This record gives sequence, C-alpha cells and structure tokens, in this order.
Amino acid sequence: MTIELIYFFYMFVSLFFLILSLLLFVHNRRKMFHVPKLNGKYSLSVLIPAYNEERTIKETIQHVFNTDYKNLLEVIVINDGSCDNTLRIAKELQKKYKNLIVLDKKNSGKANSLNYALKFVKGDFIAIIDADSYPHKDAFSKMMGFFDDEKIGVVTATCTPLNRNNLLERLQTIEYKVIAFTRKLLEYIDSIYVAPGSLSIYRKTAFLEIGGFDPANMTEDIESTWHILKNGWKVRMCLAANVTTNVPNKFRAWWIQRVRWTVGGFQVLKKYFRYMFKHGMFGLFVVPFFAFGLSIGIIGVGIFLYLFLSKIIQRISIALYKINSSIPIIESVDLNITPSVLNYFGIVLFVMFLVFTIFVLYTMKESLFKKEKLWEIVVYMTLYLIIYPFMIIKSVYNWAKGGTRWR
Amino acid sequence: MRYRYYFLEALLITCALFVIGFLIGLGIEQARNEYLRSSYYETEKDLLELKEQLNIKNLGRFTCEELSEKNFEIGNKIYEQALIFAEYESSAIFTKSQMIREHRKFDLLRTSYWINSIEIKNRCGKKVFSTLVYLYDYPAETNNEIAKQKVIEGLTYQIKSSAESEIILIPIAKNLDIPELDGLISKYNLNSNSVALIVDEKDVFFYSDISKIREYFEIDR
Repeated sequence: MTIELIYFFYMFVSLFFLILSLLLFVHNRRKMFHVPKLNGKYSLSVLIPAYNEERTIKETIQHVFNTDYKNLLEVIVINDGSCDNTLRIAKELQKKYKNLIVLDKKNSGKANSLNYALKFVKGDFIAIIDADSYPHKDAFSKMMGFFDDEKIGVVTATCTPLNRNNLLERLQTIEYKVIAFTRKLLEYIDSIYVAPGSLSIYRKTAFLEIGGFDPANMTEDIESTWHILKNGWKVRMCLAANVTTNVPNKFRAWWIQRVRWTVGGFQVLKKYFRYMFKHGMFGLFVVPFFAFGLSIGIIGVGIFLYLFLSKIIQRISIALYKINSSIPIIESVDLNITPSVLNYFGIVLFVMFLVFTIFVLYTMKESLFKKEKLWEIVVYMTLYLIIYPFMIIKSVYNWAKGGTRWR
Repeated sequence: MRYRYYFLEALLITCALFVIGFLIGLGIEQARNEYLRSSYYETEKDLLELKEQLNIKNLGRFTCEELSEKNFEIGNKIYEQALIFAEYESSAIFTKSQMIREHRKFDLLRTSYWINSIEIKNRCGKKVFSTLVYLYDYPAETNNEIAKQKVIEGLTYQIKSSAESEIILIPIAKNLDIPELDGLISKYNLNSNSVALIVDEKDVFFYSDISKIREYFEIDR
C-alpha cells in the first residue's frame, strides 16, 4: 500500500496545482490580457548583453528601435568579449541609430556585463533583452503602464520561440505558452518567480537596491527576481506584450540549456532557503514551491527508477525462466489486463492536464500565430515532460560537481 | 492574507475531487468483487448440486457421463474464475486485503471441487476425466518464486489449451491452512517446493520436472 500512497500523494499534489491554476484563472479571467494605461513619462534604457551573437544582434537592435515606446532613451549593447562579428555589427548600427551605445569588455558572463552597463544607464527604467530575442513593436508601451504602481519592481512579457520548424522547437513553443500563461496566473498571488532575460523591465531603484545581478549565479534572472521579491517589490507579467526568441533546435543544446537553468534554480534555492516562510508570499509560496517542486521531482525519479527497475528485473527473470522452459514469453492470458483504480486516476489526471494545456493554447492564440496539432501536445505532455525529472537528476549531479559555467 | 483563500479553495476542491475519485474507485473494485462473489456462489451452488447428485440416495439416478459432464462444466468455471480472480487481485488497490481473505474462500471451494472430482473418479471406476491440480504458494515472495509460478502457469495454460475437453485444471494455493487440502496433499511430500502439479492424484511434478511434464502431456516445445 505504501507505493499506492506515494502515487496518490503525487496525484493529489498535481491535482491541487491544476485546481489552483484554474481557480486563479476563473477569478481573474477578465484581467489576463489587461494592459494598464500609461500615465507617466518613464524614461527607458535598454540593455542587450551579447556574446557571439553575430547572427541575431542586428535584428535584436532593429526590433528594439522599431518599438513604439516614446521615451526610449538609449540602447546599450554590451559586447562580452565576443570572438565573432558581434561588436563590428553593433558598431555599424551606431551610424544608423544615434542613441545606440556599444560597450566592449572582456568576457566575464552575462551578469557581470549587465552590472558593468549599469554605470552608463540614464533612464529610470531598464529593459533587459537577450541578444537573440526580438520584442514586438508595442511590447514596451504595453509593459510600462504597470509601473504606475510604485510597488512594482519588475515587469516581464510573453516570450515565445521564433523558430518553430522541427518538433523540438514546436514542443518548446507549447511549453513557452503554457509557462507564460501560468506565470500570469502566479501574478495573482504575487508569486512570479522569474522575470526572464528574454525581455524584462526593471525599475532602476529596485535594481540598484538589489545591487544588480549576482555573477555567481547561473540563472541571474531567477536570482534577481527572488532578490526583488524578498525586498518587498512586486513582479508583474504583461501577457499582451510579446517577445520572440531563438530556442535550441537540437536536443543536446536544449538539454544543456535546461540543465543550466535547473542548476541555477538550485543555486538560487540554496541562497534564499533561509527566507522560507518569511517576507510574505516570497517565503510563503515561492521558496517552498520551488523547494517542494525540486524535491518531489528528485524523489519521484528515485521511486520511478526503483519501481521500473524492479519490474524490469522481475520481467527479465520471468522471461529467462520461460525461455529456459520453452514457454512462450507472452501468453494470450497475459494480455488480459484489468486496469487498476490508479490507472483510471492517472488517465483522468492526464486528460485534465491535456484539456488545461489545450485551453491555455486556445486562450493564448490571439497573440500567437500557429495552431498546435493535438499530437504535438500529447508528445509534449508525455515524452517532453518526462525528460524533466531526469534533467533534475543530471542537474543535481552537475551542481554537486560544482555547477557549470554560463558560457 | 487574501491569497490564502485561493489555496484553501483549491485544497477543498482537490479533497472533494479526491474523495469522489476514491468513492468511484472503491465502487469499481466493489463491483469487481461483487462479480467474483456472485460467480463464487454460482459455482458453490453448482458444486452442492453435484454433491447431491453424488449422494448415496441418488445412486443410479445419474450416469457417470452426466456426473462427469457436470463436473467438467464446474471445473472450467473454476478455472476461468481463477484467471479473473488473479487479474482483479493484481489490480486491486482499496480492497487488496479483502481480496487476500477472499482468496482462501476460493481455495476452499477449489479443494472441495477437487475432493468431488476424486469421488466421481472413484465412483465411476474408470478414467472419465483427468484432473491436473496446480499447487502454489500464495503470495509468492521472491522474484524466483514469481518466475517459477509464471512458468508453471504458462505450462498449465498450454496443457489446458491442448486438451480442453479432457483435463480439468484446478489451481489451489497450498499454504493457506486449509485442513482438507493439507490432508489431501500430505502424502505427496511437497516439502519446500513452492509449485507442484498433481495429475490424477498419482503423478507429482515439481518445477524441476518441466521436461517430464512436457513428455507426460505430449506438449510440443
């Protein structure tokens, strides 16, 4: 019965978070795509850290300058010791855009680059954009209105993949949409735990208060968001503001990126664990949610591997005995499988999550272009998500070894 | 804090859905058990009828052919029942302990059936049918035991399929303290063998005798 209890526990936790998401949506459904009216004239500086981004830097800069935000003060590209043509391309664009500033420094990582650029920032608000991400024309103007509320420290946007050609890219498209949607839901309990580097706008005072990014952390965006939350600032998500980004198109690159994110998550958790149950929703939900999520992920993989391997050992043992005795490995009687109640529970839960995912994609469609095929959603919910727990294991291993470098 | 209502509401709904799920699950398992129970009573009734037909006062009223035909019918039912029971038992979650208790009840019925079959064979004085009693330990503890049981189950399934109209297959757990069964098998010296096959109360085979079993029943490899 112990194993069954563990299964029920996992199902209960999954169902709880699904219901919580649905409730948050139901109570706030009219506000999901809300864009606050922009009242203030907020000056905005855009920081683009770049390392070997010759393929995308030009387009990123052009997209930033093409936005319709009136008070865009400056765009600062920080070349982090690139070995390619990133610096040359950025400098060439300075002829076209007068308020484009290009800084060049030795390679020291994204966090250090951003902290370095902070000295040159003149605006009251700082937008941080990855050098392979393209903000939509109205992204800044839709986001800036949130800052009328003086408690808001960061506003982030809906980030979706630009490249959607192969299956892995399309699966990431589904994932990014679901993440954006659930991030918006987390806003309603003041628990957005990351303002991603693809596009987030910081209030300069909040940013200076936390002392910039932590270079020791591999996911500087998670760390800075946690720091800001801990200091009592609020984080908002503008679902209607969009930024597209280049996502890994090969499994290996995707795996490395996700392991890095997860290791960064461990680092952040370690750093802020002492704030568990302190500092409002940050300590009451964000830290425990993260800790709990990672723990049950690791424990879940352990249990799954134990059960799977013991089942495999048993099956192999039976098969060997049968082969030695010239008995067919599978008899027709073996195919009569009566599903257990746990199987029914699992199917119901899977269908609920499937419906939720489809609903999320349906809700998000007005701001996104392609319709996902149902089979891709099923692949996403089975094969794609199943990889995650294994990634957590790999991340634990990397973390124990001393982590991985950002670049 | 106003957010706690979201969490409380979610918790309450999750609990309510879980309770509903548990009740439905329990209902499904109870329905399966009910099916087994009614099939048990039906077989028990058939067996009682057969016993009545075997009764001394009915001597001569029923031919050996009739008795063995009826016995065969019950035997097949018992075998089918055993297959369904094994399936339901392996998938039981809420009623697992109940199923373990039920297992003994079914084994009692199967023992009673075996005794009846012996009596028919004794009464009719000729080989009207063959009984193949498959004795095993319940529940099997180790992987080796499980594997051995699976092999013998597979073999008995092959035997039964190849001679459906000649052999009655009676699977009985031998370690559930059924006095009648203990009495019947005491003479076979089963010792620590977790599985055994008894053919017509004469020939006993163990796991190590698989090739002999094949030869005996002329089963192709």
